Amino acid sequence: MGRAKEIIIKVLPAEVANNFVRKNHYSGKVVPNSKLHFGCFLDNKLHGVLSYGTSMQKSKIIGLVKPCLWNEMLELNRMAFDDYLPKYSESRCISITIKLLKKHAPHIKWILTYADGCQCGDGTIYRASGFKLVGIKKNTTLLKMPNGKIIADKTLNNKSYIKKGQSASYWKKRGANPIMGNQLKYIYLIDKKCTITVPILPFSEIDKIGAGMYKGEKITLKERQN
Amino acid sequence: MKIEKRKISELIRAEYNPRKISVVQLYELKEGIEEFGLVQPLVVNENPERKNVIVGGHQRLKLWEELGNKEVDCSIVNLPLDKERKLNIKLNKNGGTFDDDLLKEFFDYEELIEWGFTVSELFVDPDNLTDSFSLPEGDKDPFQQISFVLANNQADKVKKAIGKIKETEEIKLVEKFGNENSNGNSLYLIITQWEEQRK
Repeated sequence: MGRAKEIIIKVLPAEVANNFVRKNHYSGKVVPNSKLHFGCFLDNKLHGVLSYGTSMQKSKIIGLVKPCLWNEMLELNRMAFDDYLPKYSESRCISITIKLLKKHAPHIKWILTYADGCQCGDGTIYRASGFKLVGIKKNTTLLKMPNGKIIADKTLNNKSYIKKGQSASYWKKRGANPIMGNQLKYIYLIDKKCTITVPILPFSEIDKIGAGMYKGEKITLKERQN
Repeated sequence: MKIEKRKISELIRAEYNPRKISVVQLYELKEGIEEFGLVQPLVVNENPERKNVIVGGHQRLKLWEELGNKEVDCSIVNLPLDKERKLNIKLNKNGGTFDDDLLKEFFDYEELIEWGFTVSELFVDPDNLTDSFSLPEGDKDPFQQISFVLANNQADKVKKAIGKIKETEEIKLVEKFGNENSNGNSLYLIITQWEEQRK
């Protein structure tokens, strides 16, 4: 574990967290749904942010774990770190934030998160942190625009783009294509009495489907172990 | 404004000066000084307790001295330390970056905010933060907001219909389910009446 043990986690103002995420997350974007931001400090300086919030399509998501009321789950929307933090820091930070959730929001029963297997990774950190893999889906929602920018179709389907007549379908007809890769869905049960209602996939499924990715490079889990 | 020539050897760097400069910025500054000279004077304090302390122009002075100069034009101010620190920040605020450690050591968070820093620009001190929070509990709010896009003509029609139904006696009797939003209740009544007609 080394120096990762020295990391301190504090609740951050959204402005500070979002500024850090914009600078350090590979997408350069924040998730507007994020409402609880944790800052990861080492040597008295901010080196990481974990942002939790609600899910975009919560009514579809909520049934993944039972029993669960509307406000009893969170999505880990964003996780961004700079290069200063030592090995194992990410899983250490996730572990501390889960402990804080247990302490200050004991009604939260589970956490959902997604790994972006198109541009970033297949969720190594989530697996190391005890998350269960519950879905691998070929990407259809992250679009590469004609100008090379990557943008989610749900962003294009919000009011401001629709008003301009530039919805996702408009751009798809004009050369915006889904980027190659997969989206992996992970669940962490805080309340172990709850049940995941969908099949839990073995991690070997990642290689079977060809969804392996680490730091933006396509690579199988097996190759990484060697 | 009082401009005087001062010997570089007599000038003192401000111990708290938090301004940092990148290699590129330094190179650009050097190019400018080599081409035009030091056209902007340094700012130097003559206050007896802060005599000859540089308030603004640390980087320019360094480059000016490297070019072999022994004297420099200075704009002279007479400021106590607290005002001197404030002026240092104000002079530097529009360019370059700041050394977080020096900012933290010599300045208060609140005064930097007052002098024009935004929260996200500043160092974040974990000692000033908490690890506690609260989140909403229980089930979904029994109310929801629905939004959809309408053409201007459609929107006008919907607004007119809502306005008209608000003038009727029936609106007073509509089942509200605890909803206090009059537009929502009106729309609900319109839909209910439409459903009745279709039966």
